[in-house]
Amino acid sequence: MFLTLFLVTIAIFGIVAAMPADVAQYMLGQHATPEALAVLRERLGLDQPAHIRYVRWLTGTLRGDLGYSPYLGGDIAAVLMTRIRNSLFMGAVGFVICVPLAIVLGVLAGVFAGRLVDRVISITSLAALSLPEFVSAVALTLILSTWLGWLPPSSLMEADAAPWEHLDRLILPALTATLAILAYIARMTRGSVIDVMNQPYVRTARLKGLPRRVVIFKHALRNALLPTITVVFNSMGWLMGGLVIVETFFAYPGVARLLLAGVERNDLPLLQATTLLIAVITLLANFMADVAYALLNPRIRLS
Amino acid sequence: MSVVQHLAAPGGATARASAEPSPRRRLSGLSGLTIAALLVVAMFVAFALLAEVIAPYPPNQVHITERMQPPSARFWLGTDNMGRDLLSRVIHGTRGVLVTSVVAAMLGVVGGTLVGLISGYAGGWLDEIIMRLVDALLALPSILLALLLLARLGASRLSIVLGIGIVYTPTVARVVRSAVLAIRNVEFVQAARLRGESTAYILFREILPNIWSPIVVEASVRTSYAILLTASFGFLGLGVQEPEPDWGLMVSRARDYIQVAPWMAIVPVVAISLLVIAISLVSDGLRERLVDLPAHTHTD
Amino acid sequence: MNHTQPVQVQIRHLSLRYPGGVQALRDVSFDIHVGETIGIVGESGCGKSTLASVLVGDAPAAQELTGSIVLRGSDGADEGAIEMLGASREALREVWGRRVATVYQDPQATLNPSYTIGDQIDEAVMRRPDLAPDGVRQRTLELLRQVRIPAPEATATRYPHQLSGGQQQRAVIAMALAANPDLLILDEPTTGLDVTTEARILDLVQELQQEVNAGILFITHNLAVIAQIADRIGVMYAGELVEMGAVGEIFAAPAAPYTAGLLACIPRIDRQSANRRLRTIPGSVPSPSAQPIGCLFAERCPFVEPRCRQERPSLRPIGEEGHLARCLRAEQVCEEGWPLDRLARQSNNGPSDDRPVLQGRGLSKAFGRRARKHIFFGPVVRRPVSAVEDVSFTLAKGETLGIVGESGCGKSTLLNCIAGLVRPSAGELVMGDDALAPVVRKRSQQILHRLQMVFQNPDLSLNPRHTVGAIMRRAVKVLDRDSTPAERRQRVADLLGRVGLGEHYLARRPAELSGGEKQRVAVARALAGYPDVVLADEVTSALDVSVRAEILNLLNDLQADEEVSYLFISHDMSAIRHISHRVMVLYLGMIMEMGPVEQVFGPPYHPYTEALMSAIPAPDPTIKTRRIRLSGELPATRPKGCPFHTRCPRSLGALCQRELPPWRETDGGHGIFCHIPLNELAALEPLTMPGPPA
Repeated sequence: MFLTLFLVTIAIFGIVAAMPADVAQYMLGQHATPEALAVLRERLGLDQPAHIRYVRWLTGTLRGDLGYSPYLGGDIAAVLMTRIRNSLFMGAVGFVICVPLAIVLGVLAGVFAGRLVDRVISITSLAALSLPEFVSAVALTLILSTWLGWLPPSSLMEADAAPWEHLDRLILPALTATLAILAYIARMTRGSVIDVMNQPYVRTARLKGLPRRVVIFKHALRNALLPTITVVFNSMGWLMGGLVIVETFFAYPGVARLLLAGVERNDLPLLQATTLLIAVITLLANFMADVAYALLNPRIRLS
Repeated sequence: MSVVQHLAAPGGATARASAEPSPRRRLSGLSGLTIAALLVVAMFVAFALLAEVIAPYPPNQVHITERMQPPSARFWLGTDNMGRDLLSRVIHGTRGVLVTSVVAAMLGVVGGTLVGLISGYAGGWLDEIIMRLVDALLALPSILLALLLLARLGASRLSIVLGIGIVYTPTVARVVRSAVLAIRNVEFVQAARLRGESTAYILFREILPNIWSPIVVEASVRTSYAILLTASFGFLGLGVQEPEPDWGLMVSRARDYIQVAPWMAIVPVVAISLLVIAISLVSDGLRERLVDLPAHTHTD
Repeated sequence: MNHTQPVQVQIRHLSLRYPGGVQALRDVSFDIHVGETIGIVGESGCGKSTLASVLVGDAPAAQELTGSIVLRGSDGADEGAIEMLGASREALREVWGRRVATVYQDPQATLNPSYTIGDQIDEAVMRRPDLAPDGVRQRTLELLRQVRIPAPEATATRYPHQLSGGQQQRAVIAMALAANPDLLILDEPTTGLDVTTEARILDLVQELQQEVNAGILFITHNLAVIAQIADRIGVMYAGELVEMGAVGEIFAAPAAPYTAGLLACIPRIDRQSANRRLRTIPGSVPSPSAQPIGCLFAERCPFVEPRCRQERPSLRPIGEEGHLARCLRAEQVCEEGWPLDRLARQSNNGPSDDRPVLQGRGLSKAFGRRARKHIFFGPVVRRPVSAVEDVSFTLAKGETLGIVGESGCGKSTLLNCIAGLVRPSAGELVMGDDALAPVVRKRSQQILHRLQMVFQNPDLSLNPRHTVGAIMRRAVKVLDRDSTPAERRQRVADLLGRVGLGEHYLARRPAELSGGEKQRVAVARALAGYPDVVLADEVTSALDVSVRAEILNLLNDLQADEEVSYLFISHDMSAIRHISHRVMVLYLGMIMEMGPVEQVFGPPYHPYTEALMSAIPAPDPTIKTRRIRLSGELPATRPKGCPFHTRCPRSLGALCQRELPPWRETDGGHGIFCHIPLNELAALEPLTMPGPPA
C-alpha cells in the first residue's frame, strides 16, 4: 500500500505542478502584477527545480504543513481539515442510511432471485446506478424538498459550522451522494447471495432438515455478506468522486468544492493538497477492506 | 490400413443438453428488455446523426414571447428561460454527448486492453510495476482524476475526451488483465508455447479471441460511465459554454428556475437518464449473452 | 443375506422429464433392504446423480416426476412409512437429516467454510429431540470417533479448510450418521480423493456397513469400487436401469450387453490385456433429446437384432433369483460375453532398440523463492516447496514410461519441466544427441516438433474459438515447416483419419465435440510434426470408462505404427499397468521405484508401491486384496531421511528417519529406493489372490 501511495504522490505532483513554464503566471492569470508574481514565487519556492519542490512538498505535508493557497489567502491545512470533516460526516450520514438498506434489498433480491421482488429491485438499482449525481440531486430535491417539503433544498452553512448541528440540511446531499452506492452495494450483495445459495454447503444445510430461515440466515448470509464488507469500504472512492457534483449542487462546504475551486482558479497548491488527501482516504479505505476481509474469513485468518 | 477407423462415430455426440430450463429468450438470445434498450439507444444515435433533419427548431432559436412555457403542441417539451425549444436542444445535444463519450470510452478500451494484455501475460516485475501504477491512478476517484487532467489540459471538448480516456484506461486494464490471467496457463496456450509460437501470436490469436466478450461488455459499461462523466463536466460548466445545447449545462442553468419551470430541468435529466439506463441495460444483456450464458452451457 | 431383511425403501416406476423434453430417468424400479448396500454404477449422463437427488427429495423443480418412492419406518416397519414423491415441504424436512442422509462428492464444498466442524456436526445431532444440550457435543465426539478421525476434540474446533480431503469426507459422513438415518446415500464420495485416501474411506464404509443398520445407496462410476462395497448392483444407461442383481453374479456373468461391455473395457492391474488392447464399446450415448424408439443401446450393441430397434426391452428376470436384465438376448450375452476386437493389429512389443530417445538427469524443481506475508502482518502465505528432487530416467524408442503417484508427488511438475513449460531448478535433458534448453522459448524448431504434449482437460486443450481444421492446420504448419500447402492439407486429413475422425470434423468447433473426440484431436495435433516423444498428462482421467479404453487403444496403436515414445502420467494404476513398458513411482518428488512394468507391479515392492497397489480395488468381487494402509497424511514438506518414513508401514525406525535410502537395483533394470534389502522385499506375499482367467 505504501508503495502505491508513494506513486500516487508522484502522479499528483507530476500532473499538477511539473509542467507550466511559469507556474505563478499560470496561477494568477494574465493580469497579475509583477510584484504579486514575485511574492507568490517566493512563497511557493518556485525558483527551485521540480524535484526539490516535490521533496519539500512531501516533507512539509508529513509535518502537517499543507502549503499556501492564494485563493484562500492563507495556509491550506486548517481549512482543508474542516472541509474534510464536513465531507466525511456527510458521507457517514449517507452510509448509515444507505448501507443497511442496501444490504436488506440485496439479500431480498438474492433470496428471491428471478421473482418479482428481485426484478423490481434489480431494475431500480440499475437505474439508480446509471444516474449521474446531479440527476439524482434534481430528482431527490424535487420529491423531498419541492413537493413534500420535508427538507431544505440547500445546504449552505457558515464555513466553520459543525455539520451535526444542521442534520436536516445534510440529508439531501448525503442521500444523493450515496444513492448510487446503495444501488451498487445492493447489486453486489445480490450477486453474492445468489452465488452462495447455489453452493453445495447450502444444500447440505437444507438436507439436514434445518428450517429455511436458519439455512438462509445462519449458513448462507454468513458467507454471502463477507464480500459485502469489502465492497462497502471500497465504495469510499466512489463517494469521494460523487461529492464533487453533490457539494456543488447543494452548496455544501466540503472538500470537493474546495477542489473545484482549485481547478477553477488554477490554484496548484490547493489542488495538490486536496487531491492528496482524498487519495489517502481512498487508499486507506481500500486497505481497511482487505484487512477486514482477512480477519473475518477463517480461511485466510487461519491458514 | 489406417488406425482404428471403425471407431469413427458417424454423427458424433453433440454437446450435452443443459439441464436447467432457460429463461425466456428471443432474438439470438437477448431478452425483451435488452431489445427495448437497444431501440432506445438506436433512437439516440439517430438523433446524433440526423439532428438537423429531425429537430423541429434550430437549437439556439429564441422565441422571446414564449419563454418558460410548459409542454404544448408547438413545443413538445416546453421552452427554457430564453424561449428555446427544449426538444430541439435535447436532440442537438445528443451528438456532443455521444461523440465525446464513445470516443473517450474507445480510447480507454484500446489503451486498457493493450496494457492489460501485456501486463497480464508478461507477469513478473513488469506486471508488478504496471499494476502499482494502475493502482495509483485508481486511488483517485475517476471524476477527480479527470478534473485534475482537465485543469492541466485546459477545459475543451478534446481535453475532456483525452481526460476520460486516460482515466478509464486503468479500469479496463484491470479487467483485461484478470481475463488474461485466467487464461494464460490454460492447456491450449501451453500447447501453443510448445509449438514455439511467438508471444504476439499467442496474445492475439490464442488469448484475445477468448477474452473479447468481457472486453465488449466493459466497453459498453465504460461508454455509459463516460456519458455520466461528460454530462457531469457539462453540469460543472467545464469544456462547454452557452449557448451550446449540452445536456449537463442545461441542467445547471435550469437549477435557478426549478420552482417555476421544472420541465427545464426534467427534460435534460430524463434524456441523460434514458440514454445511460438504456446503455446499462444493453451492457447487462451483453454480459448475460456473451459471458454468463456460454459459461453455463458446459455443465454436465 | 439381504432378502431376509425387510424392505427399507421401495422405488417404483420412477421417471423424470425436463420441460425441454429431456428424459433423465426412465421407469426405474428397485428395492433397498434394511442393512443392504446397493451400488448404482454408470457413466456420465446415465442419470445416477439425478436418481440420488430425486431419492432425497431434492430434485430440481419444474419438471415431470412420476412414480413412487416409499420410505418405510425404522427397520422396514410399516409405521412411519412415507411417500416421498409429492410430499409437502414440512414432511420432507422431517425426513431430511433424520431418516435420510447424504454424502456428496466434494467434501470441502459440502462443508460451510465459516463454521467449525464441531458446530456443523452439532447441528445435525440436534435434529434428535431427545438429547440434552450438553449431550450434543458428546454425541458429536462419539461420531467423530466412529468415523475414525484422529484427535476428535481438536478436530471439532477446526475449520474445514484446515483438514485434509480424507478427513473432511469423514466429517461429512459423521454428520450424515448423526441422527441415525434409515437410508444413507453416498454419491461419488471418493471421486477426487487420492487412491490411498479413497481406500481408507472405503474401509470405513465397510466397517460402517457392519455397525449401522441403514440401507446404503452407493453411487459411483468406478466398477472396481462397487465390486468391493456393494451387495447388489444396478447398472444405469441413458436414464434406465439395464441390469440389477447380486454383485458376484453380475461380475461373473453379466446379462445386459452394456454391463458386459463396461466390464470388458476396464484395464486390469493384475494382468496384461491380450495384444495390449482393451475391448471397447463403439459409438456414444444417444443424445438425451433425440432418443430412438427401440432399445437405447442398440446402436452400439454387438448383439443387436432387427427386433431390438422396434421394441423397448423391459427388465426381466434371468438366471439366478433377483438378477434382472433389460435385453431381448440376455441369455446369449450371459453365455458369450463381450466380443473381442475383430480387427487384427500390429502388436506392440515395446522398444525396438536400446538407444534412448530421451534422457533426464538429476531434474529438480523448487517453487517459491521466499516466504511472503499477507498484508505485512498475518499468516505466511507462500513457502519454498521442493516439488521434484533429483529425478533421472531414460526413455527408449517406441517405449512407454508410466509415471505414477498421488497428488503432490510432483509428476505434473516433472512433465512440465521436461516440456520446458517450467524451468527446472537443476538437471539436464538430452533428446537423442541434442541437449534440450531448459525453457521451451529457447528450444529450436528442430527440437520442438520432436517433443509434444497431450493434456488432461479435454475442454481446455483446444482453443474454443478455432475450428478443428484451423487447429490442425496451424499445428502442421508450425511443426512441419518444410511442407507445402498441399502436403499440409493431406497431412491434416491423414492425422484426423489416424485418430478415427472423419473429414466432417474439420469445420466443427471444440464445443460440438465430446470429451473423447477432443482428446483425439489433441493427440492428432501432437503428432503433427512426427514427434519422437509425446508427453501424456493424465490424458484419460477426465474421460468416461468406455472412452478411456478407446483412447488407450489409440495411443497403443499409434505407438505400434509410428514408434513414438510416451511419458504417461496417471494416478490410475490400472491404466499405467496396461499401457506402460516401464514404470516410475514418485512420492513427494522423489523416485521410490522404477523398472519394467511386471517387475514393479510384482514383488519386490517398495513399501509405497505396495500400499498403492493394495489400495486399488479389484474389479472382481471374488478377489480380496491384502490390506496395507498408510497412516497419517501427506506431509507439507519433505521429511529428512527417507521421504516416506512418516507413513511407511515397514519403517525401520531411526535408520529411515536419519538417512536417505540407497538405490538398489536388480539385474532386470528394476530399482528400489529403500533401506530394506531386496531379498526381504522379494519374499513378501503377493497382494491379491488371483481371480479366474480372463
